[in-house]
Amino acid sequence: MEAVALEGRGSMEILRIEDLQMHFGGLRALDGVSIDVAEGEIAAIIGPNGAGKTTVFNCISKFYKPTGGKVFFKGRDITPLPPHKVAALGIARTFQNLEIFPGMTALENILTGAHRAIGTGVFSGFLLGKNSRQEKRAKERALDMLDFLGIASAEEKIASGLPYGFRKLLEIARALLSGPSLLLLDEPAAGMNEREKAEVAKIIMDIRDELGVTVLLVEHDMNLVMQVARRITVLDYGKVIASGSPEEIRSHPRVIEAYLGAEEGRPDVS
Amino acid sequence: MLMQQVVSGLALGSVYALVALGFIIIYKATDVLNFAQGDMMMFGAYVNYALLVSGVLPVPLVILATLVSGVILGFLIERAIVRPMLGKPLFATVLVTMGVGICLRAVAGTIWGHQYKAVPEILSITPINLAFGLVISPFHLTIIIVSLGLVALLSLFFNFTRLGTAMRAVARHQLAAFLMGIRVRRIFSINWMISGLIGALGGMLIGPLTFLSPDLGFIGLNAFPAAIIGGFGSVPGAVVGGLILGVSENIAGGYLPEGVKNVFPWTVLIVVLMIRPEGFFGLYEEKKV
Amino acid sequence: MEAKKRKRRQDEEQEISKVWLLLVFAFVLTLPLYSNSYVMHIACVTGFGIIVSLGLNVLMGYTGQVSLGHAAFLAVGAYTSAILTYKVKMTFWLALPLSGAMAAFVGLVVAIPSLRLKELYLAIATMGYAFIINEVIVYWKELTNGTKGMIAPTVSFLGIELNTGHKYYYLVYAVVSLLTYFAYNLSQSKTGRAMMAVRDSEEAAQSVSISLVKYKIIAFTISAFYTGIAGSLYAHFIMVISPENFNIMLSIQYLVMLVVGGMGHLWGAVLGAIFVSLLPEGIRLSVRYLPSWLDIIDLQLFMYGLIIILFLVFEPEGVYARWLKVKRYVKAFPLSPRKQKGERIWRRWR
Repeated sequence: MEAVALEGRGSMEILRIEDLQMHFGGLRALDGVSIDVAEGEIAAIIGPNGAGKTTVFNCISKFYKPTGGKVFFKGRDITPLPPHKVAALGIARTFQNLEIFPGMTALENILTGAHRAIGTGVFSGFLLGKNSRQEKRAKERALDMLDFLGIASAEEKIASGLPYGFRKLLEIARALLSGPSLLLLDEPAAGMNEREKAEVAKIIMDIRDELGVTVLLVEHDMNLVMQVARRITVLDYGKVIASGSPEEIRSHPRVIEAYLGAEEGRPDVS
Repeated sequence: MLMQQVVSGLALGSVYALVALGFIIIYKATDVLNFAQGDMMMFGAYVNYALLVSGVLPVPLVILATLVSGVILGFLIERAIVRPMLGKPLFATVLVTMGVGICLRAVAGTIWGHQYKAVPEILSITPINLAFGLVISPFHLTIIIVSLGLVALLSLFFNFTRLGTAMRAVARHQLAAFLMGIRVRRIFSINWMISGLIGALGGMLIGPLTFLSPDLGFIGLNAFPAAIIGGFGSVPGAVVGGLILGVSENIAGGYLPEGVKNVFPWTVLIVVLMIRPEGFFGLYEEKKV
Repeated sequence: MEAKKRKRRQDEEQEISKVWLLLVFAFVLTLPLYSNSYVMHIACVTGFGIIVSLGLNVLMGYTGQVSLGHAAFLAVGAYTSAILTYKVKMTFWLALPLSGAMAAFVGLVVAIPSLRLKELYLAIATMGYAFIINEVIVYWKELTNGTKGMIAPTVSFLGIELNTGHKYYYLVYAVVSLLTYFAYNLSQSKTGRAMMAVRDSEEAAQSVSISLVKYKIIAFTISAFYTGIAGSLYAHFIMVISPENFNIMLSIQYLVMLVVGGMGHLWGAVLGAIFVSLLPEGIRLSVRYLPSWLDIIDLQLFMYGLIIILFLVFEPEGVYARWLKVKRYVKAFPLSPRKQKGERIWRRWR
């Protein structure tokens, strides 16, 4: 399945990363990375292990303070903002190491995604608890989201007891419930078998098609990436070595060279 | 008079340093904060007292016996109570040590009662004259020498012996150490035994400085600030922290209003943590996302 | 299909919970009718413990911030109430919320420098705050009378003096009920979830725009508020307060309540408070069967220590968590909890 190019969507840049530098002491995790993502597209960042892919995400969502460079979201410079403010602007993400909330039920996990949307404060928390109108509405949306991703049966189960696949979806559900314009998916297909990966691909495209969310993913699985992404940026040792459509990347000499020897990364799949 | 206070402060500081050291040794290897450290010290102080008062053994043997009791106590605590907690959440293990401390206090109270006791002096009380007109009691001097000596010994041990290196490895990265063939559990035991020894030593040294009571362990709590100010990971840190604290507490006691002296260590701690949340030599790894 | 079954089950569970709640309420309401003053006394003390435990649970159980110094907030509440009613001659009914507010303020002040501290350091820093606050109370003699103690006058309600255990009990448990209701609501609300998110994963919490600073501060404030209220109630109960009432052992006691009962669970906090409050009585009753050289104070102390150890070794998540696990297992019986029908990964409902 080829990626469906979305015509007619605004070609406005929703995310622009300009010359991003991230140094840890002497280690240059990112050395002048520039990427843009257009609104409504599905884009991907790939590269061998340690190339800096997740670091890019961490710089966007501000868990790392970039050593240099800027990040623009919808034209606005978000580089100086703290993580929770970045999220509030409409960027949601999932995590490579699965950061769900193990102590809460699946439903509660997702409801935290609606944090920004629910306007109640501490006092209405005390007085009304889950009975406020906003809470009820948020719960509806959360239940819908659980359905949308097919994990409705997990509703009241404690998240730490759920199977791995459920938890991954839970993270995505939580991210989606915050109503983001941009979704950063960090290795969504990690640890999955072929059937599950196909489901993930479908979900990613549904997210873009039905929810109108721009998706940027970091991924190792070339199949998946080729399937869903319209534009791919390849990183190696913290630098961008190629950027373009799946066909261009597939046959790009430097990309092949970077992946040579890495079994999973061979980009010669159909 | 300032210098004199510094000198006496060093003695107090050395005791703090010892207790802090006891904490840190266990913490470095096992990530466990031993809340019972102060109470282990208290127990050592009582054993020391009991042996001295009963006159059964000559003084040098009393010292030896007390140290041995400390080692045994450390061993027992680790074996019976801490080891079953392996794999449990860290916080739980820390709380367990609190429980142990409480039990120790109760046992001490039952055996020896709650009356304040004075430990018999085993050194002469005539002050020794140092340079510049400063005096120091032989006992304070002993404390300083013993504590610093112990620290030096431990530094040598950690850095130059095989066992010491193994312990440092375990402190750095338990799993890696395990995979390298180091018997991690045995190292834990040894850590606790060393801390027990240090506790008993601290007890012997602090006993004569103040009156003995089952609540003596609370002074041990005052060593927390020392350990943290020095940064909860290093032997030199503990020493520096302890000495600084002892000295400044003594000086402050002379110049500041009454209540402040008691909470001085804690106030300093909070100020330090506000400026540097990791302590001066501190170590807390960034979580990788 | 599945969804409908689940909804029905949820509704059933709600009904059962309501029945339980009614039973508990009935018990609490009628207890004074067949108890003597001694029992009422214990019940009141338990009530204070429940309030503090609920408050501490908000901080430690929901938000994951350790506090080893909560007795200090109790002291602040108690002294504020005593000073306002005895020196300023304010009515208790105004002093009560103000005591909570004062404690909340102190909680706020204490929280701000503590935001960046990691678990361990936070625990020790809170111990430090408690020591400092205690010393302040001891040495600010003009305000607090220092170690001589302060008087907190009896409370009057609509002209009736609440000077017996029976009468005070109603006051205490009215407050307990209200605060429990609030705590429950909190746990089901956005604020409660945000706190739990902070506890479970600071990174993920931030990724859904939860401000760590804001919610840690809120947690400290609420927790201190609850404890301050308890402090005020406590003060007017024992009528004379002095700094030794609020020592570190008390703080540890509160900690034990959560450990025993179950941190993070509202009913766990309540159960833990009841257990720890009744423990001294249990020991006192069994003293008859023990040798006379065993000092009762030391025995109590030893039991605390032993309980802490035993619970942490065998049941670190507390009684309530064990109860939940049992409940879940029983519900799934005869199906093992994993093999339930319909629990297929990736089944889509379109």
